[in-house]
Amino acid sequence: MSESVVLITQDGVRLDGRRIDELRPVKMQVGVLKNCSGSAYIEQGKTKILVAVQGPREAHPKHIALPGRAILRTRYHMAPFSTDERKSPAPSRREVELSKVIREALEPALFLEEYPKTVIDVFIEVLQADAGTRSAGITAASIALAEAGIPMRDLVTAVAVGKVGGKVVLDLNEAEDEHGEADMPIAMMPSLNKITLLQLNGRLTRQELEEGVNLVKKGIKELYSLQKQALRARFSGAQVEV
Amino acid sequence: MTVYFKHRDIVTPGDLLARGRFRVGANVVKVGEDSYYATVLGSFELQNGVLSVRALRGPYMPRKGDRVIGMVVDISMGSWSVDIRSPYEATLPAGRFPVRINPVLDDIRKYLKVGDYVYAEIAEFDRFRAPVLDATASREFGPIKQGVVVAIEPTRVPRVIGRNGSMIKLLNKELNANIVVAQNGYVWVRGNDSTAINRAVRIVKMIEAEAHTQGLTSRVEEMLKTLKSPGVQPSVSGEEGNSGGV
Repeated sequence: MSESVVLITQDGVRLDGRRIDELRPVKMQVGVLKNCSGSAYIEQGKTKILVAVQGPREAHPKHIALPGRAILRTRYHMAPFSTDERKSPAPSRREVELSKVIREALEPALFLEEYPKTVIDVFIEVLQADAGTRSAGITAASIALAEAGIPMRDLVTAVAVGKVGGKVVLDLNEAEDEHGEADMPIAMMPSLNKITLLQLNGRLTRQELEEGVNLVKKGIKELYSLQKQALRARFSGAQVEV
Repeated sequence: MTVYFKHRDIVTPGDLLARGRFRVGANVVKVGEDSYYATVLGSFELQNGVLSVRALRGPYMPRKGDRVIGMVVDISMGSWSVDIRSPYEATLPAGRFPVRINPVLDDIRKYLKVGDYVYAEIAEFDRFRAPVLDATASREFGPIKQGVVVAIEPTRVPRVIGRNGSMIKLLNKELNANIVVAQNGYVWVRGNDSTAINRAVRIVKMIEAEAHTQGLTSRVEEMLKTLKSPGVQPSVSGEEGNSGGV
């Protein structure tokens, strides 16, 4: 925490002009790719992510297939040009871990038992990273899965809260993530009111945590309706490929 | 008893469809005592107390008795492996081919090569067994040797066929073509000349694109009229990816 950076003013205005409970501008679109079962594109502030879903398809090699359900494979990957300094395209420790937590955030929503012996692949490509890539990735992945026609209990929506300049704020950007005191991404199935992912980096008091969860719920409600809008738009008008 | 959507509304996974006492149809789950949620993106339907969602997209799940068109992807001693656009690869045993073959003496490659399309019925399929095809049950079954095979979204198949086959009958009559719609979303179009085939493919693609909208039949009739009027050059764009000539 550096003292030279003022992340939030006395009256609660943040670096990019947002209030503490405001999301960054969000854009979502579904069905952007042709050669996959489902796809989605999301922009959340300067974070830009493309998601492709393949499957359910036959699992190869055969021995990885499960007799009673489909396996979900997720790959979270950052493009070399997604960060200020070139990121090696090889999967890093962080990406392997994020792939796992994203998979575990999506899995509870899917009826995997409807497609035994198959595999469903989710490819999350971060094109530009500006904090909140795992949550934006989850948000986009769940609408890509829905577009692929894979049965789900609910969509999964995610957003982070954090502590910046002593205040609990919604949807951190890069500067707030880097210089703030805490970062807590949360994923939920909003209709069912169930949390599927909660991570915390930094320290929060019990009160701040509760405040954060409430803030997240508010943000997720907004994102959830944008997800539904994007899905509906897929079948009620012209589609543009990105 | 509250229903939150109108007939044919587009719903998304997780949408609360209704509360009360209903029966659960396709793509709907009951949560708790009386809440019903959609599980796929699709159009909402409520008929005779049954809640269901008709999926707009989705994989093809094989069902015993379905008539499907598949593409041969591999050949072994006594059977063909056939891609039927489902998560599960089908096999067509030589013994279920319309012509009597002795796989020991005969090379089955003579009858179907890799890349050939074949029209057949799903004879067996369950949770434990990959789909097995049968091409002996009908005279229509067997290798596809003429015409064009076009891929459409499997979930749109019922709309292209129409109620009791009404749409397909209309098309076959008006277009002077022979269209076969397989349950897995392959459409086989035969016609006297390429113009007739092109017209048919265009109309099928249009029905696919607008399958979830209302008043489709009248729009199809309109399109049939404009296509038939002289001076209109129907053309099919070449990059439709999935269409393959045979």
